[in-house]
Amino acid sequence: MKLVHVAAFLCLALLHGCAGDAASWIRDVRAASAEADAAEARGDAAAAARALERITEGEVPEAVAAEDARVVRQDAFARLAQLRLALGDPVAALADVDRGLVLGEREDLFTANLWAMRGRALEAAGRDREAARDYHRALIIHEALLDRALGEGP
Amino acid sequence: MSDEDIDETERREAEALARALDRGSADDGLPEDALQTAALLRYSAGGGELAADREDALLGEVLEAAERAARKREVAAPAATPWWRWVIGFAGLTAAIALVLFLALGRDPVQPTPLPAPSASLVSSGLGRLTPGADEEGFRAEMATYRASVYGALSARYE
Repeated sequence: MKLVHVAAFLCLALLHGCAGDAASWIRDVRAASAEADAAEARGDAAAAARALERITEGEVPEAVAAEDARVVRQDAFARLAQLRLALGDPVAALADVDRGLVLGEREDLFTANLWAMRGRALEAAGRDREAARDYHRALIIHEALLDRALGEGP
Repeated sequence: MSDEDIDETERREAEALARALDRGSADDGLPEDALQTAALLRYSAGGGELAADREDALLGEVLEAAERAARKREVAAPAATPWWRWVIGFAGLTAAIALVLFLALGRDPVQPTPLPAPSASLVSSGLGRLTPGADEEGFRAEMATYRASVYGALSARYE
């Protein structure tokens, strides 16, 4: 009987541990995002980038759905790319965008933002033809999202 | 070899052997090899058979020795495992592997959180970013609001 109690306690502790990890993860994400906002507001792009890197590089607990992690990290990669562009580094911006796209492409605003930022990075690097192609990809997703938002899409 | 060649000692040994054969017992003067010869001759003369009581005694000894030997073999080499034990062992091992695979691979992936959909206004602002001279600040403000709602949904689930 005592063995059963110990096993039940361990299972509960395990479940609580997993939930605790996920809660800690989302709290850290929100704190890093708020820190990046504050840094950007005061014009400190480097500090904002460091805060966002905590989101992109941070470990995601198993209890967090992969799709939820993708959304959060793709958003952070798009913001990072924008900061790199503002700092005059289109190559780094392109690298951030590509790392974000590797996480998965969906028909949502986060993937669309990455394609738009990729177009900007390529345009800044003088690769206009490739930029136009990526702008077009962003355009297609935005149109689908707009149709959905207006109740005309699937 | 002729009779003249036989010396006195040899003649005495031959006589002792003859007496031993007749009597069934040897004198002290009979050499060992002569004694063994006499025993063999007497044994073969009797048809090589043992007396019944001697046979029974020997049989008892042989049977006891055989039992002792069998017990020793059992201790030294355990009996071979029956085939059905191998079947049960293999089935148990297969079931354990299947259980581990089921727990490791068959687990449902964590379902994604239902997130709020972006408003038409935000998507329109995103579309506008794709053209030169877009209102970047307007988009960023709307995106910040949307991001906050996404984080809120995630917090509601995970915290």
